[in-house]
Amino acid sequence: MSVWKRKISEPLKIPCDVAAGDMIVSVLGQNCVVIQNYRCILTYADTVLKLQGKNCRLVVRGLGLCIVYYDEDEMKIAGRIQSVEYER
Amino acid sequence: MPNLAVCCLEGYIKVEISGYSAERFLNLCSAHHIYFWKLHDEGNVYVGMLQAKDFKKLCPLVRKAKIRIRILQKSGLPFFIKRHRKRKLFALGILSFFALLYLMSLFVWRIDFSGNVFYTREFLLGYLKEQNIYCGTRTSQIGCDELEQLMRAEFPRITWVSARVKGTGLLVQIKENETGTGIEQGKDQAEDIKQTCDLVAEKPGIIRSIIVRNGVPMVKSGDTVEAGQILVSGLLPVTNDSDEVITQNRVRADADILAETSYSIRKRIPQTYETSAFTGKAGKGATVRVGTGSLTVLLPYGGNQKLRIWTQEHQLELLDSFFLPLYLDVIHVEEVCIYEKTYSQKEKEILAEKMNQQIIEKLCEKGVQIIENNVKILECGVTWEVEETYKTIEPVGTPQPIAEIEGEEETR
Repeated sequence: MSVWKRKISEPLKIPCDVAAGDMIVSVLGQNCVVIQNYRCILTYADTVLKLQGKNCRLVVRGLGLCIVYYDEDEMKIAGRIQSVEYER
Repeated sequence: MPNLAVCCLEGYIKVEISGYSAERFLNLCSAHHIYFWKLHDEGNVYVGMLQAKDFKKLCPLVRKAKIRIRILQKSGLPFFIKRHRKRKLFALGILSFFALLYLMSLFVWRIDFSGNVFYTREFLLGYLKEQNIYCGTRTSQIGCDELEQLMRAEFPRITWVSARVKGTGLLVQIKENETGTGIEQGKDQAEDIKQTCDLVAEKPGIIRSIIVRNGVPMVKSGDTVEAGQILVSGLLPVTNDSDEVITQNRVRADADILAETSYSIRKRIPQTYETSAFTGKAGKGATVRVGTGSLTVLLPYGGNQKLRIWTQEHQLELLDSFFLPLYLDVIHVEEVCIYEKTYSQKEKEILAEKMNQQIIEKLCEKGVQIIENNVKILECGVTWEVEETYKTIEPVGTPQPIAEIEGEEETR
């Protein structure tokens, strides 16, 4: 997040995902990940899912990854999650 | 992911997506508000579900992303109807089923009571039948408020009643007056409140405490009294300055008197009793009841002794509180051998203790305090006796009209 955005959003108590458009990643155990605020799917395979966010990319690695549902804002991934990484 | 019910009603399709840039296709779909669910990778292809109405919107996107799409499976109501469109009787059957289900939901098929102890279920069902409420009555004809008022007015023991129709069941919740006779006693007391009377002892005992509110005490604490003896007199003497009785005013004697009393209960029981033993031969059966008609199937059990039969009743319940007038009764039949058995010492003790507990419960209900309790088992040849003695403290003093005094009229 840029400095001026932080200076504005912090006193106003605006959440980071709203102010900077960051992705919200909710990991539920080892078998489920819910991602919000993503832009698009870059790569999808059985073992890896790469998503584009506003400021970074998110890489979910695992086994038997399945997109339970997705829409323009939110995606739920099921499968054996091994790692969740960010790429610039 | 759309709602499962919506998917089933509108229909959904399982598709296979293959091609070079399937991810681009997914992003295009997302941008055009076409959503897949249960999407997974099967090697070089993706397999996922989408709604049937969205499938036609895919054509331009498929061309744009240069992918191939193949239908694997069609599911849901529209496809089901299309597949079975020639089976008119089948459709009629389904429609009839739902029509019958709706028709059944208009009537009460089960009546439940809760909280009733004094009034049995059969008695209350009989009363409801008199009010034209029974299994098969239309739910719209049952006025719950009216029924509550009627029951409260009809049964003085019922202090609170709530009736409500839930699904096809009528639930009547009842609270009864625990002391039971309180209302009747109260009525009697209200009638007698103006009558003048003495308080007399209904049984012999030793007075332990006496608090007089109205009348003249004739006994004091520690006195031994006999049954019928006046404890508090309802004649109040009026004296002059010389302590001479001028006249006697009649009042209603009122006092709290506790007396130490004793009870002795003796019960004679034969040395033997009849009991039954399961011979090992058993049978099962079932009864299907619809309305007043029934069909019973009972498997042969292959015995010729006496039978013990019990039935478990099950009523068909589709959803929570959606009862239907279809019953399945499971019948259990067991062959038993009846024989005479002599009471063992332990059995005698258990029986005596059970009888003792029943008597204690009855005495406690009357407000009697037990201070000593003895149970004896006595052998008397072919019989045996249970002798139970209780030393208790209980309220005594029952109203009795004041006896006419000779020359009373002259005194007045």
